[in-house]
Amino acid sequence: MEGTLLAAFATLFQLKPMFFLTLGTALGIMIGSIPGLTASMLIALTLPLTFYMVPVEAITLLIGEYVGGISGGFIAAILLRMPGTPASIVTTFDGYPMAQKGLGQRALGLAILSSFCGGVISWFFLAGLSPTLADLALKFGPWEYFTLVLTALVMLATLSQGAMAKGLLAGALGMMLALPGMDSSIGQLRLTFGWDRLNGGFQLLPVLIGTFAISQIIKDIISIDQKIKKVSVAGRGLAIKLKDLKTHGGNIIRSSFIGAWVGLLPGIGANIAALMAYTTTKQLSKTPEEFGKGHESGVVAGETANNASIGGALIPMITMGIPGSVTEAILIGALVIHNLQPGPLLFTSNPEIAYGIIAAYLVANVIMLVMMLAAIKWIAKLIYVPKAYLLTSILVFCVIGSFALANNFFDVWVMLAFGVIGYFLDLAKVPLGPFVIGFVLTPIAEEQLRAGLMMSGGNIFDIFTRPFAVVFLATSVLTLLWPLFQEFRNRRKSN
Amino acid sequence: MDNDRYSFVIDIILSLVIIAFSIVIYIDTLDLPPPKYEPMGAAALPQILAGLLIIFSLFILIKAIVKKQPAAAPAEKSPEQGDVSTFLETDTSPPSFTKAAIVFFLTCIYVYVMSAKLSGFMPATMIYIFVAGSIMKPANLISKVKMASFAIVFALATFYIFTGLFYIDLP
Repeated sequence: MEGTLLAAFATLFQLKPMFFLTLGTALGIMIGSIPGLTASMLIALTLPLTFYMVPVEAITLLIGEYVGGISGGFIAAILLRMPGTPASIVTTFDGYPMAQKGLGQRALGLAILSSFCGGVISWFFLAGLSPTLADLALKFGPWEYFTLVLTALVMLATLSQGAMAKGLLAGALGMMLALPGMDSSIGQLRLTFGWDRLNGGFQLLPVLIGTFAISQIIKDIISIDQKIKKVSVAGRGLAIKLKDLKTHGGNIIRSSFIGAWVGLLPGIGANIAALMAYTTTKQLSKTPEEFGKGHESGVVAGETANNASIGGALIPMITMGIPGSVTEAILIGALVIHNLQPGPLLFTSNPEIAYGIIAAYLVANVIMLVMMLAAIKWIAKLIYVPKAYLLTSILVFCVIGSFALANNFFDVWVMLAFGVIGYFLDLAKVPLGPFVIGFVLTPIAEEQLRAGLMMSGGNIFDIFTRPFAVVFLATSVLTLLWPLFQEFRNRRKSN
Repeated sequence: MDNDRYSFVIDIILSLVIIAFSIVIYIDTLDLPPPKYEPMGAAALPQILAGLLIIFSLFILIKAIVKKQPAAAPAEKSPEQGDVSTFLETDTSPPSFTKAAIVFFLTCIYVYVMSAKLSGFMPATMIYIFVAGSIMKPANLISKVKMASFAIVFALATFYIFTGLFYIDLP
């Protein structure tokens, strides 16, 4: 493993991969710093540009965007009380009050330091756990895969923010929309309603761009007349010292562990990881009453955990092909577009990609640190870029991105239609994460279920002869029942 | 419309639309051939999902109706209890639904114009960016000139970058 990881680092330090990683991180920071634009939107939009790139370069660009995108979110969270990305919501609690007290630079400095430390600590999780988990996943058959996908979907639907029924509905709806076209097992056309265009089904990229970019742009235009209150960042330097590592060391390590483990679980995004780390830090603090009024530990906990969650979320993606969050679902799409099969075989068939992702994640964190330390004042100005220029440009990129997939306008119409669907689902508080991940995972789930049934002569109870499958099945049943049990217990208590 | 009534209406519409969609899907799968070479067949998964969608929608529908009954006011939440969105700064500016609808409609026209070969990428993009941008932020003559210049530079730059650098054929 060490040799392959070193080889991945060596490849990464060549001119082109390093250029794309730096470019990706810079783009990520810029887009992440602008409220309303997210890392997943950026990755979905730049995916078509990678068609003609070498896979390693494409993946490094996207990993850089991911790390930069999550990190950049704290700038607007601290200066405007508007999180650049949902992952930075928690940073608004204490970051903005710090900025109002004239400690904006200190808050930005702590956020940079925490983001970097969270990323590096979770890298050890990623590098340490991934090869072992991939070895384990190699022993999986169709039943294990089917139950694993089922567990991921159930966890996503029940644990994502909002009501459980809406999460489950989102997952099932996403799965349903993945079905039109040719059935992969027997080649039977289904749900095309006699429309030839649907024979190939809905392609992943237009669905992703529509659901995340178009629906977000619609929301951004709706709120375009909102006024932004500017907070000035006076003075020079970032007002952080090495001593801060000692002061906040315990918080950083604890929040990194929380972030990495929470990131590992499907469906619980960086925002929940940050909220859990924040709550834990507040509960353990000697001055909990100061949280929400500009407590440094609040900024540190949130920013450490949201960056650490990326490392955790990448683990199920590269070892089993299961996305931990929406961004991983898009990265899986990127791998598939480049004819790479995400999952345990990636480590044996394309080790340069599997280890390349691991190496790129660490280096992207270092690049992010250097860029942020050097240019935070200029980057911070981006949050005031007029939305009219930005949104029209992104709309054009959405059209180009969907068109470029197969040089046809059907995909562009699909993208626009999914934009409307995404907007209305969001309006009805139906989470989009389970919707998209249901869409991504359905072909795998159906293929594995049918393969399992064929192997067992149609006997679904064969699942219970496979220990891992039983564990996954039990986990999904428990995940489904736990919120109901909690609600029942709370009602009994209140009665 | 107050928040509760708004959520009630949205939930009812969502449930009914999904139920209707699931019924259409279920009916369509009835024409699919029965399984021949393997135990499951092409119709099974869509039918199972249609069933699940109807169950979840009915649950949301019933919950919305039950919730409509008068109940005690909910207690205020603290940050760690969940809904983080309540802590974000709110602005009193009215939401611009009309602008969003017009820009979306313009985007559809922009796509149609290119797909029907009525115009190429460059002229269509220049006009689209200028018009959509002006609708988003109506302003004085100087701002309009700035937007027009941006539209021209952006359309030219993207065309040459995408066709020359990324080998993507634009219409």
